Amino acid sequence: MRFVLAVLLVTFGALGASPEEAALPERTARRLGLRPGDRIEVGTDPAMRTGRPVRVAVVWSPSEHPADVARGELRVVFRLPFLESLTGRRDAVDRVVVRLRPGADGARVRDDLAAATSSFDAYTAQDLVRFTSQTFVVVSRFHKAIAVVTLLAGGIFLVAVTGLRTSEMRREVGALRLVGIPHRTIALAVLGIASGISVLGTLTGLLIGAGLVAAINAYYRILFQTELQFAVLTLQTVLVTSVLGVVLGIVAGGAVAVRLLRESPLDQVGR
Amino acid sequence: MVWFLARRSLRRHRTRTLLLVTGVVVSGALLFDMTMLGEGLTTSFAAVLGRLGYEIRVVPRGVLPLSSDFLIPNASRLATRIASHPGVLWASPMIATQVYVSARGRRVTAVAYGLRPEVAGIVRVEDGTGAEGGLVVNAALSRTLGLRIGERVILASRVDPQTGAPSSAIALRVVGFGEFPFDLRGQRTLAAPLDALQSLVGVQDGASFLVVKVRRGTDPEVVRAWVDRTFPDVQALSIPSLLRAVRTQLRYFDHFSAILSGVSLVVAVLLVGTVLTLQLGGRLAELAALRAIGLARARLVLLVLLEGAVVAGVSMPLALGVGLLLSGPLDAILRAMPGVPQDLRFFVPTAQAAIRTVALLLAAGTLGAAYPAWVAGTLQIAATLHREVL
Repeated sequence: MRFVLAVLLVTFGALGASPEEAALPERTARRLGLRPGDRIEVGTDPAMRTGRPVRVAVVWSPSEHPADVARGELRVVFRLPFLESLTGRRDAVDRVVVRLRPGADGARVRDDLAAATSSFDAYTAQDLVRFTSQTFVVVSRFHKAIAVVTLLAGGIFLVAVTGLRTSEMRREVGALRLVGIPHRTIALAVLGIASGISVLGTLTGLLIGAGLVAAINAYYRILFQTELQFAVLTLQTVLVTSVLGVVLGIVAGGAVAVRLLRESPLDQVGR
Repeated sequence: MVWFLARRSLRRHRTRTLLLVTGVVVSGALLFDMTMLGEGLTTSFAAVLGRLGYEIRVVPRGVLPLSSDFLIPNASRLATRIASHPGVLWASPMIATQVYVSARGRRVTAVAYGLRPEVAGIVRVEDGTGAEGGLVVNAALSRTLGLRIGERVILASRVDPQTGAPSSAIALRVVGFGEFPFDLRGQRTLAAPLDALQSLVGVQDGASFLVVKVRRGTDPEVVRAWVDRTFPDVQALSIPSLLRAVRTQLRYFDHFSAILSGVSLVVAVLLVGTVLTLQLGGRLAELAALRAIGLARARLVLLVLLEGAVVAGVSMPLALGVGLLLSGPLDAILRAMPGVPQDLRFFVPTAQAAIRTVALLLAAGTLGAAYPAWVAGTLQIAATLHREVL
């Protein structure tokens, strides 16, 4: 069976002295059903005309990048001289990584390297982090925009339910006013009911949300064979949701209370 | 009569109806956007693929369909053998690689396509001629180097990292300006004659992939299956199979749109259901009176169901309009993602998306009214009139 692997042009410390050894990330090893000690054949053409036998020396669990998870690429790591001979590229690499002395300014070294030649580009590790995380910055922006729309829909729902539920008290409010209960007490009672509904609704919503987060993580971890988290319920999300839910409920209750107290109590009891 | 009563009931509680319609509009707009998102990328990708002028792409077996460093050896021979199939009009090898481009004392990198004259759809020439006799460059490359038609340009596949001198170079003239499908934002791209690019990168008769045009009336899937069967070192991908491969990589958007479509439908159902149920509480006497004067139970149920459907129906044009308005900024956000070709769209308004939204929203409105309709249907006439009226 043949597979196409993304090959990393880096040396790997755990490889033994033999140049014809490979290190496999756990995901690749699992997909190919390989274990340390297994022998595989690697080549640069589908017909394996350049095929060479290699021993799997190491299977390890690297930290995963979310961008790699969805692509599902298989990866293998060789010693640089072996890969050079396999690909026929003598003394040619895709990139060179540079370790700086302690205290050295990475940005300055980058600028110095860029100024020294026009034949390559230089980036600091921070530049690369910024670049590779750009996709997730955009996706996060998209999520925020969608969240605004869903909050709007949820807000309207909350206002409608709270408003209608408290409007149901029209007859009782009329009767209470006719027996002399002060406006303030009635307004507080309506607000109390509205707050109760919104707190209960918000708590239920948070519980459903937490359940969905768990379900989403469980589903995508199995789908992409990873331990990454796809949805996270943060304290900030809980706080924003709670404050919005309760405040919208109280505002809706307040509006209903004002309307109820403006109407004639006789109209409210239907006389 | 049922229609008249449904309209009257909704008009009587204007504020509630307005709130209900607003809620359904927002849910419907989100539903429309998510339907567009679910289908948009595939629709947009299919539209671009359809303009390329070929139906089958042949790549080394096992590689990703759209990007690979692997080359197909003896590509001309393979193209000739594929073209011998009675259903094939032509088969042509292509190279896609990175090159250095120098002109006017400046040097930049660019994506280069090496192609034969028959592969015209790969580049849409806006000014000048095709890439047969020289280079067709895109706007980003011509702007960066200030290129003009007839200008001499040096292409190099390697430069010495010490001296910066090109170690392998050819000179070609710019013969046209054009647009390339799947260009990323700011990407510099050029098309050159295939043999010139093959000699530049040092691959004798190698190709990154082959493109195949089938004859009118021939099913591309038949040719694709034949290529797959006959040539074990390559795999053939028809436009539908390319779309399937792309769709697999875009599962995130499929799932996201499915989840949010579900959420917006649930919100619409709950909103209609809750508001109509609470409204029903104030109309029990009226409904019992209608039953008492002879309105059939089934017609009363129909009346409440119709109210739900009317709310969804009234919200529909606004929901589609708001959804369409929102899709513009949402599309702009997602297209800012690195690696997204300029001519792809995430949100594509189609008749299919609109019809699906209309059907789902009408179903949500009617489903939301199901519980209050059941309450209305099981109303006890005498007991209700006694409780509510006396």
